[in-house]
Amino acid sequence: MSDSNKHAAKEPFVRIAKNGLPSAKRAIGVRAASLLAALILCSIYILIVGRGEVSLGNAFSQMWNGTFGIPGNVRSMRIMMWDTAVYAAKLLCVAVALAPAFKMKFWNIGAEGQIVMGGLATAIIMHDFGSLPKPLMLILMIVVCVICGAVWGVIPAVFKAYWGTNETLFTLMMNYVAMKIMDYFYNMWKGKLSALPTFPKETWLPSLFDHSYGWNIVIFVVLAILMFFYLKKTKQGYEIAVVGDSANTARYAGINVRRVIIRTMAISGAICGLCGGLTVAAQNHSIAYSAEAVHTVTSGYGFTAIIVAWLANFNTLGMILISLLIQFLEKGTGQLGNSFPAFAVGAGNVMIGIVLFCIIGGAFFLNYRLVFRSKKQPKEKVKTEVRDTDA
Amino acid sequence: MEQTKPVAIELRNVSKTFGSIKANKNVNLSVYRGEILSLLGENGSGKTTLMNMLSGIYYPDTGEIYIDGKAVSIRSPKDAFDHGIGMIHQHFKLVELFSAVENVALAMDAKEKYNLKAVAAKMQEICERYGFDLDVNQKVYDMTVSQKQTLEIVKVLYRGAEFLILDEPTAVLTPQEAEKLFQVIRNMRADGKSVIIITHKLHEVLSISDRVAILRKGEYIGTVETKDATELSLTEMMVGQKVELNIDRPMPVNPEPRMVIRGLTCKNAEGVTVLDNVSFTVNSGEILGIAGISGCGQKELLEAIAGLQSVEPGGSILYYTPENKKTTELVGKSPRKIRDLGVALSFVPEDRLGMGLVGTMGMTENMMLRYYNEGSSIFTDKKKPRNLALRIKDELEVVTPGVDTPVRALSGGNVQKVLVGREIAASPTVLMTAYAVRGLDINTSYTIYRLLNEQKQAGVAVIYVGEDLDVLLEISDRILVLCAGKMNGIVDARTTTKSEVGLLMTNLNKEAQQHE
Repeated sequence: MSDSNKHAAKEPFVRIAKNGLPSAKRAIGVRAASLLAALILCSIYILIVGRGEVSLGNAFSQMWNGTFGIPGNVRSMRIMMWDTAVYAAKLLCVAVALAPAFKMKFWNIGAEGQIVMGGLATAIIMHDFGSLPKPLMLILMIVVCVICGAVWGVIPAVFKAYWGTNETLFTLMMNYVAMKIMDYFYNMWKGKLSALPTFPKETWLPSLFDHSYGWNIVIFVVLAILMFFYLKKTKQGYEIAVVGDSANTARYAGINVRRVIIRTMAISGAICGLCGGLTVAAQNHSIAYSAEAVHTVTSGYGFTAIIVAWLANFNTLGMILISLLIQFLEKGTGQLGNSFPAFAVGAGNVMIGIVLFCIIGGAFFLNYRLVFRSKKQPKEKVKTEVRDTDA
Repeated sequence: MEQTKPVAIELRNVSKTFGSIKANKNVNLSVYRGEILSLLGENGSGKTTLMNMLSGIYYPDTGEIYIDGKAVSIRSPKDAFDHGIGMIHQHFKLVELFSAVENVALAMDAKEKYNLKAVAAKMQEICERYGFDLDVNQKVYDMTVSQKQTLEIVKVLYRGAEFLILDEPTAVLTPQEAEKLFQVIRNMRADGKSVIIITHKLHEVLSISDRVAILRKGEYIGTVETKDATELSLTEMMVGQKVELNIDRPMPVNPEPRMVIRGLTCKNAEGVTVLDNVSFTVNSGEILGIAGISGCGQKELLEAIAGLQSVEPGGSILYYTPENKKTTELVGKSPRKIRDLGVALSFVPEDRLGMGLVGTMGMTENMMLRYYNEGSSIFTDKKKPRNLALRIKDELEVVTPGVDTPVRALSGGNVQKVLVGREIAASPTVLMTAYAVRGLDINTSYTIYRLLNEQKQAGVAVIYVGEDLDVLLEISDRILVLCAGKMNGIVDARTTTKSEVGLLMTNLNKEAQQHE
């Protein structure tokens, strides 16, 4: 065979082509197909791991019960739903905090640290200023947690705006600094005790709906709605969108890019700080050592919220649904593990992974499509190929 | 013809199309062994595309490539190397953290033994043979641009290239460095290698090459022996005959100075002077064309006026307010400050979606870019921009599913209509456009010409930075020619010729030009 035959061009079996803008119909279709695929894959996973001893209906109803309570059992439903609501609201709050930064293409991976700083600031007020009149103490608490979170967000923003540092690494590293600062206070306050006791009840946030964390749910949902309008309707929101698309266009339009970056990260950090502060004041009433992952101020939501923000496409109202979905997966698979030993370890992560893979992978089909090699080749080409095989 | 040297590479009827743009049309080209061939042409004449097909980056749509008389198919840079073709790109492809020898070792065959010492020894031998000056253990991040280029050439030679393609090799070099490079290239020719240099600097072409091949608008014009060529003859081949476009050109009505620019010097981010002591006056009611090879300071000039590019001390841009002739200094002011001072400046930048518009937003929100900050409310007003968007969509016949469809989904011509429409709607007194018709079809181009002329007749001072000389000659009243950041003259567009402007662009001094 001659050299040129070896190099003869052959169309690949499948290639990727870019789509135009996806229509609303296609967008919904792709999302629905992604969820269906996730459901099927999760079912297969359950059947394989459960070795046929766990029926699908049983598994999914356990997941439902773990999130929303046993249907018909009012007490169980009330407990489960409140618990789901408060965690979903917290996750929502962090995702809402990330929304303006992400919309500006400032990848704030530092929500964890910003939450911790807000939580720590509140804890200091509760620990050392508990004797102040309650309204004054509550105001002070909110103000300092917002400021501390904002400062933690502004530091990397200033470096990015003036010296072009990489915000992803910077914010990520700031998390560990924040955690170590919190550990310092935790150990100092704990002294020789085995764990830090909760702060006195007088310093807690007042209850609402008979729950100490009632206000959190209300405030976080209101924040999501406010942020939606902030991003869509205000001049500042518009500036964020322009900077996110192209800093050059922003400069051309006379937008002060540095100021927008710093201001937006102050907002992002402030909301994270508020989330941390309210979690400590209303829900945890204490701080925890950073190694005890589950009961920390953040619950790891500084990272989980990144997924929520992306899945909702930075739409803060959409984040409400996504937060609930993530809660369903987290709590539901927790319950599944409690009921069936086969799913005790890691099942939750596997299933969350499957769902995220399907949703995020599905987004690929919004912008691209696969083109398979058509069987019909141009006539000339076929001829030459036949000749080649003959030779 | 003395054809003692054998033909090594031959391109026959090679064509390449990108979308609706024909980058190369039936190009024929032959390269002899042991010669230096210059490939000459204006921006966008298809030089780089053609060479990218030789080096395996693109694959020709039609046509054949022969090497030593045998048809070959070059489908990847690796294929190109197997045929002994190596290309040195304008943007170097080196690993910054590696030393010179490690970068070359990257190019080794999988079968070869990884032996840095052997690689270094072979590199030394190449350096000595051709006269390269290279420290093989130096890290790339410590190297000057010239050293990086040397390394790229050594890398290609190390891999056994017989044919070297250099894409505008002197663009980044000082004259001394360029001379050193030419010496090395001559040494390579003496060793029997063929070297193709892509360039648009005429004096270099004349001083180094044996033959010159000329491309114009994707078409192959011809090849001439360098000894038979002059700067004038090459320029004429490069720019071609004047093409009549029949663009309207009304006479300016009472032109008066609108902007006086004095001693404008700008440096880019690397500290290189890109605009050098430029002084001129922009008049109301006329179109001032700006011609030049791309990258000769056009972008910096417009951005300096718009307040987007910092100006070296001593430069001045004085704006004369139409009604009362009050002057305003624009240097040192931000775009917002300029606007707040009442200077009605409109700017259609070269990078439409990267600077003039927000690609992910619809027409309405793009109209807002200019007006969003008006008023004291914290909320944006979408009504006015929406009406403006609808008006522009109608008047300029913008093809879009709706005023909220992201503009990046529109075709290039429609994107430009949105941008030009917005800038004109701001009722400017100065309108700057950079490559306003680049990539647009004929109809849209004429729409843009008409809009610019309307502005001119309304008394607006229009600055038109262009690349197509035929258009510049027909639409402008005066043409300012930039060459390597310097102002090389202002000519009357009604009386000048294409080759006069072409010569000014390629830096022939004025005395010689008046001579002929």
